[in-house]
Amino acid sequence: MVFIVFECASQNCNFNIKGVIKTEDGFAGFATVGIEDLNIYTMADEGGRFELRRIPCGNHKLLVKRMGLTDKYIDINLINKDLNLEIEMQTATFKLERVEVMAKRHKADKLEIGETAIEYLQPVSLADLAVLLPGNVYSENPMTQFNLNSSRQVGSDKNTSLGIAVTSDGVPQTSDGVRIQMVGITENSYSGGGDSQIKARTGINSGTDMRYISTDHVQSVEVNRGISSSKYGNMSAGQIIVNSKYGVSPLRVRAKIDLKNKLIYAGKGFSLGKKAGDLHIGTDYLYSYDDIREEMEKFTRITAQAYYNNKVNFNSGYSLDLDFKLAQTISVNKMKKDELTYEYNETYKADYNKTDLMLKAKLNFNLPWIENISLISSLNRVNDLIDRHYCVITGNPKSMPLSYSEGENEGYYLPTMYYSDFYIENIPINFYTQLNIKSRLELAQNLNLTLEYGADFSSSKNRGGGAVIKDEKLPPFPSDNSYMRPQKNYEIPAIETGAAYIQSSLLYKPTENQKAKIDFGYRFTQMMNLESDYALYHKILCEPRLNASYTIGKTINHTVRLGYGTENKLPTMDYLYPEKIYKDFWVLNAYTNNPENRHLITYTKIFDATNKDIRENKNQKFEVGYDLNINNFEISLTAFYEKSESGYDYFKFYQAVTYPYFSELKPDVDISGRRPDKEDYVEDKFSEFASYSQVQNSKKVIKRGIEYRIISPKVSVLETNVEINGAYYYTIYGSSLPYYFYPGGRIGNNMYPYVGIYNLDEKNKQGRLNTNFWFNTHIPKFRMVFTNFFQFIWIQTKQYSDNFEGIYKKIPYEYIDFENQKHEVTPEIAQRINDLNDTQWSQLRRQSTVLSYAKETKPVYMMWNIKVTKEFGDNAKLSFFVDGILDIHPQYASKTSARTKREWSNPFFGMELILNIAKNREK
Amino acid sequence: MIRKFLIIISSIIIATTVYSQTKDDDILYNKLSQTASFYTVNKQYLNDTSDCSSAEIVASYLNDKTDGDFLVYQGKNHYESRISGSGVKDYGKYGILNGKCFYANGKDRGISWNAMRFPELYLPYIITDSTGGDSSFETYCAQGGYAKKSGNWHFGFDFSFLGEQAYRLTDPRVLNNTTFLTFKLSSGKVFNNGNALMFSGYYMRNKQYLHDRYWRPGEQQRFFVIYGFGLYDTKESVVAFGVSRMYYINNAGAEISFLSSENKRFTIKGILNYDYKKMYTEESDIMQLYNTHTHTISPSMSVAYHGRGFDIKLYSFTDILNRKGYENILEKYITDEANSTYDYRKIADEQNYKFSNIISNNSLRFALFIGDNEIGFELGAIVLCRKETNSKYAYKIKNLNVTPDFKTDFCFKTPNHKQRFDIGFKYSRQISVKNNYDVEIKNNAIPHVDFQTCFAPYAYFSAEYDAFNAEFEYVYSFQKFSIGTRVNGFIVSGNRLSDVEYTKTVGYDSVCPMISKQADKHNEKYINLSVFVKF
Repeated sequence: MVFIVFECASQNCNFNIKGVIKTEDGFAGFATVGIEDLNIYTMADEGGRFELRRIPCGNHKLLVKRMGLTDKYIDINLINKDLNLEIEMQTATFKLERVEVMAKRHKADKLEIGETAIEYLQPVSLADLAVLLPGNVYSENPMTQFNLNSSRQVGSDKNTSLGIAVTSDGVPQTSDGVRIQMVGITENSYSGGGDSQIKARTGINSGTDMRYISTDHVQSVEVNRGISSSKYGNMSAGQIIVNSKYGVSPLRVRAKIDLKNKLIYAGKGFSLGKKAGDLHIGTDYLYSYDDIREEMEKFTRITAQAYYNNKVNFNSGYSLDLDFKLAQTISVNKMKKDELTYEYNETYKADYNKTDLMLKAKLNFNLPWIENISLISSLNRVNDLIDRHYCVITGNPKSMPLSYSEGENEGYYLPTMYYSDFYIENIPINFYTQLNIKSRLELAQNLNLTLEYGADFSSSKNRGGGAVIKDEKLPPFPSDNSYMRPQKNYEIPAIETGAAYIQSSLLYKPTENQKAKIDFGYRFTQMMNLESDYALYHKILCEPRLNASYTIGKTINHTVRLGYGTENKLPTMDYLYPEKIYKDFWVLNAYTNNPENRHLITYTKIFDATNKDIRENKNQKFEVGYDLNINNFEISLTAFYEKSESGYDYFKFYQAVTYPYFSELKPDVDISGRRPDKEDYVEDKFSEFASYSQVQNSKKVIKRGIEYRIISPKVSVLETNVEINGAYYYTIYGSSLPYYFYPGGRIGNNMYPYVGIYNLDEKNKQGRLNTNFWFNTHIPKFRMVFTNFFQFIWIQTKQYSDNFEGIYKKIPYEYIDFENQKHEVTPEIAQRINDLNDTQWSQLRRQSTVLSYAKETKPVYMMWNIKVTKEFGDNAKLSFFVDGILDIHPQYASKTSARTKREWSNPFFGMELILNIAKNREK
Repeated sequence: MIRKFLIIISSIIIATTVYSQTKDDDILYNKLSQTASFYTVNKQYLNDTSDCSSAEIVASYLNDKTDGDFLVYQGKNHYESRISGSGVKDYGKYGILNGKCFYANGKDRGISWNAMRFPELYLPYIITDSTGGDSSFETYCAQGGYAKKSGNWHFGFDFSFLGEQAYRLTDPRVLNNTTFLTFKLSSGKVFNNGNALMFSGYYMRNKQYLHDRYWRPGEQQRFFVIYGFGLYDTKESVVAFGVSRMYYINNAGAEISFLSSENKRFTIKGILNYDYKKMYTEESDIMQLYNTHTHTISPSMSVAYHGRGFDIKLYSFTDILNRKGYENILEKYITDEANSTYDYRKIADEQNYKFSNIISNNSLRFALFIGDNEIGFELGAIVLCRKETNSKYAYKIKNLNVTPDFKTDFCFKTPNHKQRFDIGFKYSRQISVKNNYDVEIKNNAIPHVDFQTCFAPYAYFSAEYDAFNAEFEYVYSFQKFSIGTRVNGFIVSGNRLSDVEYTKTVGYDSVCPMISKQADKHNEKYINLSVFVKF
């Protein structure tokens, strides 16, 4: 059957396109040449020569692009012979008629932000580019703390952030091998308190930290929030593809200063000689702060990258594209001098050092059954060390055990003030390799099939020491008698994942004015190196993904799109291997002023936070879209629905603990002047509830909405391009597990005896409708671009709801007693819970006010950002920007607080200078 | 310190003056160049058809230091470094584009009883802690204009933005985010007889966000919401970890100017400017407590006679500012009884505070031309009259000062015109003609802060001093560009009037830098150094 297909393919009308690409300075070596519709791309050699083989007859749009040059589209008509082209490309300057400073739709399902747009946006990190995406709203993206990444939603959540995959030059950037298990920092210890500095800066279990990705080394970025190709996995919420700069370029220096960032970059691309390829190197330095008054919160980043590329042509007609990348990211954040740091004598040192190696080889055969084979391999090592000298002040002497086993243990009292020294060391070593094979077949006239299939393997092994308290007798966060005895990170098994995929792309063009395309793929993933009692052990996860589109029309062009897919995010090392929680209870607590006469005995209960039933977080996506293009006037609409009910969350459980208790002295016993012992007290039993957190697949996130984008052709009178984009997003955040509530406190001499379990089905519902108006005025005569950005938030709502909405009095459906037995709440008990005179049962009644269910609706608000960039010759560009130069935030009556409110916003401004040290082409 | 304020405000409102300021430039002429249309008007007015494109990059440093009395809300010492770039590009029939941007950073040391930046714009309704300290700042500014000629009419559009972030690194830590956004439309016509008439109108929006908060855990202090003459809102002046407030100013103005033909021996130039500002404050609970309305009229005139080898010019510039302050009366009402939640609404306002400030600068200049060189002599006087009143409590403060001055300057060019030297010296003496301080806080139930917020500024202006000013500029021209340096400095030496002393007990003892109760010296040193490249 396959041979028949190949045979058919060879009989169809196919020709080659050859050519040479030139610039004002000579030849555009290593430019990318391709036909988007057919998903055919090749790289020109160092002399700018290229060849695309076996191109089906018909009309095509040839795309040529290279760093520093303006993308060029050429209409070609392949009828009955090979084509030989000579293509002239121009340096991207503002004197040209066309300057692309916005994201453009690419391959129907992705938005691509090109080099000029990135330069024009003046980003300091990848997160800054999000403002170009429909539905996203402007934000300042502070660099001093980890910011959750979001996708198609109002607000953000950890599971979405974790599920957004960032792929750099084909290699997924993962942080799944990071593990921070320490009381006061990790989520399975008590919430609130702890080390806010570390918590804010480390995005544990929250995905890629965009702050470490410098855009100065990036040539283009593609964003796909819909259904991704099955070539990519271990993600659930979207994909950001980063393509590095490569090739020859003049020395480029970029300096940016604004209210929060000071950045300098220098980079240049060299030719290493005939047939030796090109090398592009660059480095940047960023110094950033969020609140300039806060000496503790400063962020320093140094990145450097060297990218080598070459093309080797063999006599056989085959060719080999080679890419090699070495990247280094360093961030050193030491506590700065400040009157308070002197006063408390604390220190905070955070050293981050990442070395990234990537090798990519693509062997082009240009045969029907095998177009090319590519192999991508990557190895990176991150050294992430947080070192803390931390001042602990406790109001009263805390007890501290040092046991590693359950039961009674001797303990001791902590001083009321001491310094705790600890460090958290993560050294994840990530390896990734992927083998891809691409076949391209012409099944019939106008019917082309592109097949991509392959397999990948990834491994994350953490070689770090984990959380290490230098003196275990001086814990940094002793407040609620919870402790961990952290296991070294290097003792934790590596996370290993293997996957295979097949992705087909079927293109049918029955006439010049019609095009149907179906992209269908299937991905099979298995987590390896797991113990056999994990639910994911030997489990093969399947992810079907489909994108289909149909286009009709020539001058008026309609496209209908449809997509469905499943994407899975696998659990991280931190989720798979949490530490046990040691909870300590006082058996004997005899504290006296004389340390020699003190005696502390504790009862230790160990809770295993590991959930071996943990599964992947599955996100199902569905979207439909419609695009209209009339003479470069474009309208695009996309409606989507995403449902994830298995997001990761540390869920708080309660368990009753009963232990021996020695509190009441026996009659006639005198302990004055000596160390008391258990024998001096009446033996008793004491019961109480202890809470512990365990990761569950319990978080629910449901996203739905409509995104829209309207692009007008240039209004020549005003020299202005207009883009209007935005979205209506409606997002529901919830949990699939019931709510546990323990009132706490005592009844008589005993602890309160019940924990209530409530079927709340809590939901936080948020809605937002926004429109962003972009007016990009480009005046080639003045070599100037002036951007006016108006952001309107028309609707912004937030509402909490649960199963008791309108009742305001919540009663449990079950409760747990001190025997750890669950009991149903019978009508009789329900009656007692509702009876306020019943001091015991009524404590399980949770009461809400009308205000807590009220729908908070904010009024329409507007924000105006401007940016002016003036180009001086071919060598310099100076930009000035002000975000929020004017804003309208009306006063409104808040329904949840019953007060008049207004949101204040402050303008954010800065300037940027770019110098291209090269020959001036200006005549 | 007044100079510092004028420098800042001029950079906010005034558009680029691209060329270096030399003494033979008519001051009025420079003032006119604040609008984009000036460039096209000027070309026709001077019958100049050449390309007027030029550019300049300047790096400068200034330091202004006081000794003895100082304006407490501005601080004792101001220094800053600045780098700026400016340019004019003549696109012929497509019009003229001009632009400027600068970045500056520096520090104001010894600020007292004021947490605001640019406090003169918001007085008397400022907010403060009682600690004071040093405020570092960084300033970003961009200005741009475009003008085009249509027949004998010229039209221009200007835009300028100035933003500043200022902060204090000692507790309580202040953060100020201040922005000025200005749009200006201008037009002009050059008549056949060579006279020119120009019109312009502008709108400026100012916003200042203030956040003043303790970093040290558990620390609290009283923050004062001041409304003039040492009065403060006792309810809002809370003991707290910190405060925040927003200030807004809407500013609009119009200007008409006339230039008689340059071809005649006798020339007249005049400008009449009217400016209106409305300022209002907003507390963190969205209460709007205060607002001011400020009207300023600024007539300016220059009459010159251009003789053979000499010029005689008479200048007169005057600013007449009147400000009225309004205090809003708010009502507290229950919005949710179940939760005991309350809100506020405005029910009335009252007008008690008034401030007027008149500055008039008049001078007569005689310039003698010897070949390409020039020597000038100038005789003049500045009159300052400032008056503050509060009709509710019958408080009044008044200062009337006259400052006569004498100036001489010299411009020398080498025969090949490659080098140019400009040197100028000026001597002036401030004489206090009349002063009056009539403020007596009667409410003894609260700490009095009139010494810090009311007497201190009064004492600063009640001084007599000698001032010596020197200016120097050197320019060396190459074929395509020229480089130069500029130095400008002054020294002030004098004393507060001996009878201007605070005889009562100073209320609210604090660590703020402060003037003495008794008469003190009034000294100041200022220097501004810059190097520039002109293309």
